Amino acid sequence: MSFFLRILIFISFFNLSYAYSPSSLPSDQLTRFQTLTKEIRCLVCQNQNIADSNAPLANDLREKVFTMMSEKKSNEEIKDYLVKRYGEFILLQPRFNKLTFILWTFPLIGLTCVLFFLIRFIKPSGK
Amino acid sequence: MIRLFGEISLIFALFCSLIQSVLPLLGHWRHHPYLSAFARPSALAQFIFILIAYILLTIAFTTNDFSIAYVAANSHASLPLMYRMTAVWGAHEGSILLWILILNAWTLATAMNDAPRNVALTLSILGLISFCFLCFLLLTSNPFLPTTGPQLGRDLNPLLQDPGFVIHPPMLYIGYVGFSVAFAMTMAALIRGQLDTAWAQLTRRFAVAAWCFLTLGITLGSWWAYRVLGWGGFWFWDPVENASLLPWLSGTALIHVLVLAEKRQTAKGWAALLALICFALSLLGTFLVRSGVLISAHTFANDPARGIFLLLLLAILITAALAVYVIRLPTFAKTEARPFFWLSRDTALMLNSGLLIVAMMTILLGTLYPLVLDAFHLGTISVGAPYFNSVMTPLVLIVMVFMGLGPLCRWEKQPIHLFVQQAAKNFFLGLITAISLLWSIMGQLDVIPVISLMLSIWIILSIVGSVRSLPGMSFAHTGFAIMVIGIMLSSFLSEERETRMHPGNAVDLGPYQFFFIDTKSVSGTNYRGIRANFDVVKNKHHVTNLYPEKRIYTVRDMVMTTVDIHPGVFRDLYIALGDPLSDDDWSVRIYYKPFMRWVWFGGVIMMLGGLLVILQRKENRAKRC
Amino acid sequence: MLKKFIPFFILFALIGILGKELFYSKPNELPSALLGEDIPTFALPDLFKPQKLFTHKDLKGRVALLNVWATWCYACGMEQSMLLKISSEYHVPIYGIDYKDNAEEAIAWLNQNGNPYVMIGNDKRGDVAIDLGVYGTPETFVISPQGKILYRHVGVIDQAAWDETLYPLIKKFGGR
Repeated sequence: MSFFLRILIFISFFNLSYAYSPSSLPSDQLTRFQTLTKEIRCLVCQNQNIADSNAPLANDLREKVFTMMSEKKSNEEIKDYLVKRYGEFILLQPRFNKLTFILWTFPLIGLTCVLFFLIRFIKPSGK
Repeated sequence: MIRLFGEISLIFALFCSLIQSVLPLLGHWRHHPYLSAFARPSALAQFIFILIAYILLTIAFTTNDFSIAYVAANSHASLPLMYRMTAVWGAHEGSILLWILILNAWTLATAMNDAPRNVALTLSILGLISFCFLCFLLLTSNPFLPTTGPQLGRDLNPLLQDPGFVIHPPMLYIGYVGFSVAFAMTMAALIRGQLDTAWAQLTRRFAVAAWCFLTLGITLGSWWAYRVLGWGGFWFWDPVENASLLPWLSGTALIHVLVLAEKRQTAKGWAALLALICFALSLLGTFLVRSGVLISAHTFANDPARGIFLLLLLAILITAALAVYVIRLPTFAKTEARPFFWLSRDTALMLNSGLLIVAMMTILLGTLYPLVLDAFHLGTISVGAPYFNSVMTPLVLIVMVFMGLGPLCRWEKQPIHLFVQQAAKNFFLGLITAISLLWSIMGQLDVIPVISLMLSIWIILSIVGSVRSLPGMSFAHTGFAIMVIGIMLSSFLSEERETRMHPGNAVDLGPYQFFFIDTKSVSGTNYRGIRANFDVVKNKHHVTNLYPEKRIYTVRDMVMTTVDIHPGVFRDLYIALGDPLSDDDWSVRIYYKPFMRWVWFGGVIMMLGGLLVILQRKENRAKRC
Repeated sequence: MLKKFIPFFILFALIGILGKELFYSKPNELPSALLGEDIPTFALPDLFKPQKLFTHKDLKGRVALLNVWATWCYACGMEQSMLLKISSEYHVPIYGIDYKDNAEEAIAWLNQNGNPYVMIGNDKRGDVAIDLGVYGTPETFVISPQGKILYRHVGVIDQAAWDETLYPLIKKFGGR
């Protein structure tokens, strides 16, 4: 076995724990797994989710999600579990609460303003 | 030697930029045409000196002159020549030099095209921007600093050793920087107190040109990320990507509102403000990317000194520009009271700009929000791709609705019933075509694919009548529709499989079978690796062979996954090697992505549309003479 | 008239926020989400004597440090001398969690470089680390006498971090 291959295997040592295999999930659960892992941040990467990362922590967290899904936990429970330990930072889609509500309502407010300005532009002095 | 001449060139350029910015301003203030005459020659001189500095840096890279720290940090003797030449912009210092070079190239283009009475002031402002960036370069980001001690070179980051890197940053910068021209022209016009048709016409041409390059740059960046990152994605809402999308959105709004300013002599204040916003966003983008305040896969190395400088630059330039705008606003606001009919192209263009700005501000808010919360100690949150996808999808669909209605409107009034008739025709035709196409391709009907496909066809139908008279708009809108089709279909129809394989295994995905034949060792000038050979078969016919690789770049000791892709008009086949799991087994990711190419194809067509706009106007000018 | 100044206010607010972030933000260092919470329950086999268990109860009674490390983590090696100093000179008990490591290599490493730890748990699968919200190594937690997490330090502990943050906190809770 080439030296190069040995290095690669050493580097990917922690990925040997392939005990979990998401491809064994039925297709709707697989979709749920893929969507969920795309919403969880890989904390040791620069701005990636755990679905698209090979970092050891990402693999561990994916395995954790898989295990929790097998235990029939809901998406909310899985997210709560992770947030309790890592903070809201780990969720790539901010949850709706009083701090983030502007993020979710801004587009609507913006569109209303556009309508308002447009009407004022068309009828400048209310003719 | 190179170091010395490089730095001298830069200092001369700095001097020229000072002349270029100060003298014409004085000349305008004191009504001395003699001073204003310094503008063009100093712009040319500055360009030449920057070009010399850039060429010297390139020479340093190609000749492996590791006495220069920047070259040592980003190159290596074993790096292939093409990448040695383009590694010039591989990190912060060199990319700022490229930025300044491109700024001066645009300045030269402006100098050759602007009307004589305006050019001095425009060049003066461009010179001011160049002066600021040259100070930034020389004081905090000098590419010609010497190395301490002997160096062998750290090699270029392997992620950058790809053809995409050769072309994406320059195109992106040409676009980004090009909006400075629109900004400078607008500022000059404001200072002179005249936002006239000539201003609108010329600014629009330069803005469209910049927009073309920005569109191309973003498209290429997306294509490059798809090739290099190994997970089949092409847009990640990464802060640096958002930083390029923001000026694109406001730039699109700008080029549309300038049509109003030029042809209808209205909305000039709004157009001027948009020019200012575009430029502010490109400066903000530069700051965000290089200051280290945001976590991103793309950021350059962080240095607070650079961040402060850029922030101050941003603050001073934009405050000054806003001040000029606010002071001059009353002088041209009075000429604008032109009554509108609500159902007209005028309204459509204004609505379009409003929607695009809302989209831009949504992305800006999302990108900056974690920073804002952190600054007020309200916690750390992430605003990532899932958020942007959820929020932007409805916005884009709304924009598309009006994109399909706008071209149906005429200037000023038109009979409402004709308009409604045409719109209804397009609606039903679009809906039927979309449903039948989706049914035949997917075999099922989901809401979002139906709506977005219908809207794309709706847009294409709306420009059918205008291809002759407005080829630019037709192509650009069609390109956008095609891009949306590509994005939507590829995300709904794509399939992926991640499995463990060893030579001899086969895997099915979609209508294809993938046979893992063997692996062998390969090496390049600066890497060693393993190349796998996959046979791809469909309906018992051999389609192609795919050769994904896993490489180690020896100098930096970085492992890279090299993907192999079989592109096609209607689908991409994409294979990436994951990690080796034992002697023979590999983790393999296979993706089947229908209509993937349409995303970039659409982007290129959009750019062609922009080019047609510029060429058409040149033709019109020629005809008039 | 005041309307004209609105864009300037917005601009200055933005610049202010960005400026503050430039100086004070450390985007790669997360504050622990468990600050003020009880340390999560865990029971790990001791590294040296696997039949014995190292549990969360062992951390109660006096202020202590919990250090997550591994032999494959280069930075952890850099921290070693500081940890030895903390345990011998400052007499603060340090407990260790060996994260996803090879037990024999870890024992050999400690025998060679010195063992600052009172007890070490062998977290082979990394589950306890996830429970603690660990995302990289080394990380060190300051645990109160009641078993609550007071602070998490990300990265190597150097003298500066010890003097400025960790030691004052420890003294506040009764450490010497």
